[in-house]
Amino acid sequence: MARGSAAITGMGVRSPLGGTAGELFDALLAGRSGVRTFDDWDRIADLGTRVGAPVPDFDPRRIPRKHRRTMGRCAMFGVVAAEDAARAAGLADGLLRSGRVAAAIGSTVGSTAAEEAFWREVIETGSARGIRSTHFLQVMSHTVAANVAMYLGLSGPMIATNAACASSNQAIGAGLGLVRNGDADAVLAGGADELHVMAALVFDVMGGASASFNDRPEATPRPFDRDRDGIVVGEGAGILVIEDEAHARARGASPIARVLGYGATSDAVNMAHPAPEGMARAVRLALEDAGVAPEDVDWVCAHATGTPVGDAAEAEALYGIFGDRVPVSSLKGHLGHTLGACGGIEAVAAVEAMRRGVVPGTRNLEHPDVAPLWLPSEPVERPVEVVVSTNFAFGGVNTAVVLGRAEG
Amino acid sequence: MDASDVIRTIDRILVEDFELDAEQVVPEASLREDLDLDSLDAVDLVVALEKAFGIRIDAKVVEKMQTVGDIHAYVRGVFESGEFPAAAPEPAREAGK
Repeated sequence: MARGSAAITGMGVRSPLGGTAGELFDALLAGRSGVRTFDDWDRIADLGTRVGAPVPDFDPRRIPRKHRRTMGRCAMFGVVAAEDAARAAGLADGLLRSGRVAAAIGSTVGSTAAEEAFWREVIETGSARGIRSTHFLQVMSHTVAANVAMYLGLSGPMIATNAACASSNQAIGAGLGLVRNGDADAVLAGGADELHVMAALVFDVMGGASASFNDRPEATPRPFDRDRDGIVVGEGAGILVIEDEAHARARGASPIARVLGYGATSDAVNMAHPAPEGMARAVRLALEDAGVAPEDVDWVCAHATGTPVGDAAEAEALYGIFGDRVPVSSLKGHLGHTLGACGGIEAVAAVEAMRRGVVPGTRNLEHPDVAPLWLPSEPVERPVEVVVSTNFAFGGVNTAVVLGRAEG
Repeated sequence: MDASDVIRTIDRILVEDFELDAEQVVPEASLREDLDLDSLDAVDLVVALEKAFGIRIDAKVVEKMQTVGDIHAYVRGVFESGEFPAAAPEPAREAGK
């Protein structure tokens, strides 16, 4: 039974393929790739993967130094995306500072680059004297949420969701909960992450990073494709303004979409190996929470990162719920895996899909070899009223968000 | 390193690390009011000065400084004395929480 929706009144994004929702979605429809080769990763012996999906041409100088000094790259992405979202929603300064606007924003960890610099200083000098006062503020796991709150003057609750690749969806779920419970009138919700070789290295040693396409970066990752060989780490941020609909209307704002429901489960089976049952339960819980039947869903924006095991498990879970009736596609083929940011970026894309009536296909999907879902590799034009967006993470974390069209 | 090198280096740190306009960085400029530097910046300024000059600076001394000229005078004094002050056992830092 539906527990009530919340309005989405604004959104902001930074991604390997664009710094606005429109730019990003145009690139998705055009089938562009944000993946490139990182030759300098050669410095790390035995690292197989050399591909990543960076945010190009990001100029942090638009953030004043006094704010920027406590931010690593992930927090900077989060702050500029949140600022864009707040501005798009028309949230006035007085409202932002009213105590009724919250931050629910996640990242895998804090800034890995800042943490690397911290330990490099300590190890190279054997001393604590070279550590800057702001180092920890960039490293701490709630750095994105804290910096967004500080920058925008948010004085409602602050929630930092740090569950790796599920961080954004958890934040959106938390944001929906805050609005439903009346604990906030509006929530800046989503996630941000930065590309650092550590994440690529971690997936690499676990056999989960793409290493066969280093000379053809645009050909990887390959979600649901038989030749997929793993994750390509990306970066960026995706932030929504989730707002109580009556509150939005009272201040003259119109919803651009809605958050209808959220579902989450834990596998408690294996830290790294995905379990289709847990994934399916999360999707069913989200649908139930939204009051939506599987046949009412117009697009499943799948987590599918391009790993052999993960994509197959997700396809199996989704097939059991949706059969072959709903187009299922992953944006990872275009954007790589933006980790803690992916759910936020995917939600922004979902809102844009609902606005335009077209679903992006999965880039690099040529030969599907998973459960027989409807897996378009090219855009599909269709009315998009309801989108399910899934994200899963190490530790058996399964999440699904249900988004609805504004007019729906 | 002579006195003018010391002053040039300090001013360069203030301009580059703290993104100040070179015209702002004059001896009489107040660190807090004119340059908007705070206690977190004071800690980072100590780190930058120590690295640039290869000396040790008592963070508590820097926190008490009022102007750019005070920093000039302090670092020049360190060089002219030929004795680098030992680090404070517990440098005053922004309280963590």
